[in-house]
Amino acid sequence: MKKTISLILCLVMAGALAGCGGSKEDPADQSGSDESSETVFTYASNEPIVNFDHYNTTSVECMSIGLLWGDALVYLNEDGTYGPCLATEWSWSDDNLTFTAKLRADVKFANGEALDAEDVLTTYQRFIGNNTLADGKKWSLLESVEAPDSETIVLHFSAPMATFYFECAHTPVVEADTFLKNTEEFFNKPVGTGAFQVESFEIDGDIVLTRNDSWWGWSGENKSNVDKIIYKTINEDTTRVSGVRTGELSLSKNIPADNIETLKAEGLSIINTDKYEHVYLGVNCADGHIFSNAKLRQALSLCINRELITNNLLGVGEPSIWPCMEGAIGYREASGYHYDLEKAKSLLKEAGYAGEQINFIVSSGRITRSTEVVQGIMSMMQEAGFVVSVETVENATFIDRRSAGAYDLQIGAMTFNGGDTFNELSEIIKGDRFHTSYVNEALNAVIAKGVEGVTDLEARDKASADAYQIVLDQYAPIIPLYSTVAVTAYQSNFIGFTVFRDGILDLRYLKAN
Amino acid sequence: MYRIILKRMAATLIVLIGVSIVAFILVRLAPGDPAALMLPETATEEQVREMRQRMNLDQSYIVQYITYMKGVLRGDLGFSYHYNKPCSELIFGRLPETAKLAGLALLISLCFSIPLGVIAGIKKGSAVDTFSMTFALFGQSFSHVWLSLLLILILGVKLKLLPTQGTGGLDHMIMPAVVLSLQFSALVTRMMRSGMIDVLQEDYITATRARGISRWRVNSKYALKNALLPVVTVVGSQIGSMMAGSMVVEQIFNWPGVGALTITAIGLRDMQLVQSLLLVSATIFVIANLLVDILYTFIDPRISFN
Repeated sequence: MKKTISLILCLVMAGALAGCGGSKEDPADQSGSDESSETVFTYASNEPIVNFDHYNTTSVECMSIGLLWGDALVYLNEDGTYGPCLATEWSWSDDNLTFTAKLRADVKFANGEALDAEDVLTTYQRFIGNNTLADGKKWSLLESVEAPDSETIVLHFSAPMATFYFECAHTPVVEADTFLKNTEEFFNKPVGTGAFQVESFEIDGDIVLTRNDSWWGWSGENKSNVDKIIYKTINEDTTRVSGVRTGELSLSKNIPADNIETLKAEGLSIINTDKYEHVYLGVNCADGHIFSNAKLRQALSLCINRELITNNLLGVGEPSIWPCMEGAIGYREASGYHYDLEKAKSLLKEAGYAGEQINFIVSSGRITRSTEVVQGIMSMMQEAGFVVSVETVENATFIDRRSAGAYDLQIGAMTFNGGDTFNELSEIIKGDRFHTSYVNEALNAVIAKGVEGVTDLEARDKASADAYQIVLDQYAPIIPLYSTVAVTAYQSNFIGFTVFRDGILDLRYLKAN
Repeated sequence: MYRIILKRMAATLIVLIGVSIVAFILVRLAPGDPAALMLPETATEEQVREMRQRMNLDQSYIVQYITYMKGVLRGDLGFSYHYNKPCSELIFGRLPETAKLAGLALLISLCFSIPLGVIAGIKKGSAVDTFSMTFALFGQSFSHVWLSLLLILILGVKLKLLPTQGTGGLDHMIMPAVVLSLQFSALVTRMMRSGMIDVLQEDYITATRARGISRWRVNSKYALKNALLPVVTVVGSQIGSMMAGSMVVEQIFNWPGVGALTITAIGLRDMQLVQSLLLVSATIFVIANLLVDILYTFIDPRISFN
């Protein structure tokens, strides 16, 4: 009797739970279409979007959505080249200080207004003398903008802007009247010329975009048949994975690699994108710090088995010797710098290392599987003879400590937007952003002369390679570890989208089968 | 009576001032420059300096506190530089979502655990009693993270009965509410059971039974009312806790409530937002407890503030 009653109670509990969900349609049906037979594409990432102005936020997803609601003057192709977008043709003055572009005709904004040069002028004028934009200094070389006629725009620079094309490709042109009427609120519901328009936006909630049927970029066959795109910020990896498994999500970004086989077995498609992201060790070379000794830096580089990290600890990624990854500006094949524990041990002896403790700081969550990776590195260093003390701190403390140069060794990740290594070379290495106190006049001269202010990508590639060779030979101020891979899982019925190596997603030609 | 309530409200105000001071100090003791953290890593020293000025961080702590409290009295909880929105808009925009979840969790808890605890107390040693004690033990032992992931895997991924994340209809609320209610249900079940056992052993219950009043009437009218008193206290504190937001549950189920906002704000060192979240959470907690205290005097006239 007692057993029967217990069983009944358990069944009632289970039944109550099941009953609550019983009336719901299968969540898998939501992906692709809803009750009103609209085709809906829902995707998620862990990146929050607080507005759609990527010069005021650091979110990659803000740039992905920027590609949807607005068009820029130029478009960054998957192979790293730049093609026409709202500008059909352009030219530079001989001194690379004046950019002149002709605008595409018959382009309309989502609100029906026609695009003209005034809109482009307003878009770029907001960068001039505006200190309120958190990342506005990327356009600090822009001196003035003029619109000689309704189809021509001219940008004047105080010095050649090396990253012009990348920034230009991610600066959607705004509808001037709407922008000027309410500058403060414009980027909460921007009006652009893009393939989709922002219908609603909730901070940390859903962002809904609807198709703009009159978008100039579609020509019959390539027109997207997706009516709505919904973006969700989901911080938890497990929740994102579950969402794509149940069909609640059409696509999920930044999937942990250990889920790949499970997702494949369930019929989901996977894209492994070699990211423009590099994980590196930063060494403090200031006097009195252990790694001011170049031999010890070399020993550190040699004692790390990078393949072991990517193959055994992470399951994805490519070991790195060169300070940037293949496909990025300045990349070259490197040889002769691989794992060599015995050489590392002998270098330690040569350097007279007497077991001084190395303070290794790591920010929790800054890189994927940071705990495992750092423990792996620590044991490899200990095997070589280093005495290491790892300190895991939260991100704010990490940034503080790094800014103060209060560390011997730190681990971080660098993203190269569009594969452009300009920021790393100019701001982080030459500008010593991480307070490594590493000074190399030859390196700084190469960067100053061949990288900064050079718009010719071929010339910059050569100078960047020269600079990286110095970094590699001196093992300072960074020691590359590996490049990472972004795993994206999606429902197989969706095609026609691109995941770029810097994480930006282009959904403009998305189709549902 | 009303005078005493007013006195109690004044005491609550003092508690809140204390909380505001503690929140203000705690946020400033945390490592990291809040101004630098609001900007990209590539920000110049000048930009950081400007941000410090905008955030009022270049003033002395006393000036900062007075400015903040002046704003609070006007209903201005400060400005979130990460979200680029007033803190009050962010917090009060999310409170209804947290309230919905907390309300359902409370309802599930009380509807399930009070009858279970009562029956277990009356039928001490029975199968129901064994079940209730097992439930109380496991319910209080389960971690929110583990249970959340288990429910997502079974009810969401495997059986596809419920959505695994986000907001929407009632179906979106079931899993987070069940997780949120579990520990509370276990606590109430245990308290209700022990309360009923204690009360049923009282002399007045024996006397009532001796007068020939039915067992049902004795249990429901005389025993239950007294056994409920400690539960009311717990409910008060739980309402406060749940309204302050369950960070773990909201984060896992991607529920846009106060708890998830708190995690984001702490991670970003959004100083004013964290400070205001602490203040609002404490206010809700203190008010919930004040209301319970007042309610107590109505339920049991023997108890007074005096």
